[in-house]
Amino acid sequence: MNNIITIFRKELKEILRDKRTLIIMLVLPLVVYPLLFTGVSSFMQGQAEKAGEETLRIGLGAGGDAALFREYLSAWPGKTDVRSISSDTAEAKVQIQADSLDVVFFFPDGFTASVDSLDPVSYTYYYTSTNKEFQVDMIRGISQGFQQSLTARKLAQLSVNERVLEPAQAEAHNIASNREQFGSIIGGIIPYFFIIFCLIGCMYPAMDIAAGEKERGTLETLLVSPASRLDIYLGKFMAVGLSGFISAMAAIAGILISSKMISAEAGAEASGIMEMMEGIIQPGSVLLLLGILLPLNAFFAAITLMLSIYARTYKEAQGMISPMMIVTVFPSVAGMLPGVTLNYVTALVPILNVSLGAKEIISGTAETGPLVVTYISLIAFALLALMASVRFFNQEKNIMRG
Amino acid sequence: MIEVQNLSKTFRLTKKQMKESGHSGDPEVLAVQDVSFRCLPGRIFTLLGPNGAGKTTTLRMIATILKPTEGHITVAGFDTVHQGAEVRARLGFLTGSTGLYDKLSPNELIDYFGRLNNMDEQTIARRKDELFTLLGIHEFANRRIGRFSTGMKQKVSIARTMIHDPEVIVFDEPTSGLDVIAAKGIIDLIRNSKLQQKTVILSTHIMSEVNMLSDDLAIIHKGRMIYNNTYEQFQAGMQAATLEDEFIRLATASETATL
Repeated sequence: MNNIITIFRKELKEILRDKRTLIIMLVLPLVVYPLLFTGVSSFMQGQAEKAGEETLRIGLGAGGDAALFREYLSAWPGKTDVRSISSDTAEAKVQIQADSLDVVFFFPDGFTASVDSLDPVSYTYYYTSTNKEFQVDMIRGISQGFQQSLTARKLAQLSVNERVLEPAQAEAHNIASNREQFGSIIGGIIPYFFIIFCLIGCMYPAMDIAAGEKERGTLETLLVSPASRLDIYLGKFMAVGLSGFISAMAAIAGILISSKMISAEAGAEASGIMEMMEGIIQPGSVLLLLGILLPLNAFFAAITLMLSIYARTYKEAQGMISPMMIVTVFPSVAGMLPGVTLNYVTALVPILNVSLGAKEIISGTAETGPLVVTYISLIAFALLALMASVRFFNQEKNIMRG
Repeated sequence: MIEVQNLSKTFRLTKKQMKESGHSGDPEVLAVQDVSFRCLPGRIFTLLGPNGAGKTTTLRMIATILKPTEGHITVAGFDTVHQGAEVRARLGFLTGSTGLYDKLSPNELIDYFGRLNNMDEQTIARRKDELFTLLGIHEFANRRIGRFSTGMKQKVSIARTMIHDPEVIVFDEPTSGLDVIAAKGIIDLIRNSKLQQKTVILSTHIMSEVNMLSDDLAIIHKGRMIYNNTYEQFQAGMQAATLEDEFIRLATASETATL
């Protein structure tokens, strides 16, 4: 036991002295991601604010009867710049392509009369969907609003109450709590980050601690010390595992920091996220989550260490361990897809069950049966990986492969 | 004391290794074949042989890193297979390729190995101080090893090997890759170990080292032991003019014998 602790402490010391590992483990999730997230969200908010101020440049084809439309536009709340252009549609297209107009409307002669007499009549508009999204929305909004104004005008002429179109209003109540609503969205992201960073946090020290030691010729010196192979293995396993855990926790802390920063900016809209976060940080759900995440953590530590022990050099270990990332990303992303839920089948798929189980715990919708199956299968996988990894470490053909 | 009895070691080559080495047929390779010898305290036992002769494999089995396929080894009275930890507690191991932890200082590194040898902190501190004084490590004892010169690293390696005052020391080509001054440090260490009545086994293919250090000599060639006696006897019975020539003569003779 003393030897395990001695080895564990020494490995940890080395990990903490490795700047590259520290940056990936701590700085990335705690500093870079929150900045990135809040940067993106404030950029999006900026865009939305800009949309309100933007002037929409509207062209009206000459020759037609645009009186109703002009009337509608004059009452439209947004800023517009209405210009008359020629009746040539080709000219209109050129102007839109050249970005000197956002949209061009063409109305036929006698449009007002046709509308009033209910004769079939149509108007045309040209725009480009490659415009900024809010412009496209504004253009569609204008056309739809105009149609509604025509309906209202006709109803008024017929002396029919406008309410005939909507005799009763529906009042819908979504009884899902904020936690449930946001949980199904963000609940998928939190386990994703945990899974990925847990793996990253295990990967780098594992490569250094086994293949790296082999390459630098220090493994031999350790093997001829009185410490048993199992002691050496467990000391290293604990260091790799703890590093993965810290990295994963840093990733989650990073998400919490980000959402706090975003909600401070966005106000009410994000209060659901905060409510959900506070819901997770209850002793009960934290325990449930740790129950899922710790076996995964052990699984990653055992597998990365096993591959690294087999490798002759750090580089070879990198080549063998990196593909694990791709293998891991798929099931963890699948857990974020809507409609994929935790059941007795998905509870048996490693990583996917972590992603789904954590998502349901976070949104508070987890069912006991599949959750228990998830725990059992995760612990079984972790133990199997650990046993295989220890066995691997004890075989001289692996440990002395070089 | 080291006693090696009828030691054999077989490695199983993978398909890839067989392809790379052009080895055909049986994937089993006999690296060491029925080797027996005895190393006594206060004497330097030299294992001489060309690269690939089986020297390193033999020494690794003595150090419990590899398990013998057949035969037995006892080190200081303990069996290497069944009492590995006891053996390792009494063994120092230094090779030309053993490395050090770059991110640790000599102080931390020696503490680490002292603890792994189950020494208490006081004993570690006392022993470390002795070794650091002897080797002149004190002035850089708290700097990271990563930036050390080869000579400085060699001193730390020696301290690492000797921290638990082992009674048996295994040197596997300890001077390979070292400059003259660093190599001299190792030669001195080997001589001092002998003076302290330790059992020393040294593998080398450098004839001058053999001549300088050997009390007993074993020559190993293609996994077999082709000579084993005192160095005095060896010199007395030499038929060729130089050590090199005599070694080559014996190796050739053994090959003809096995054919």
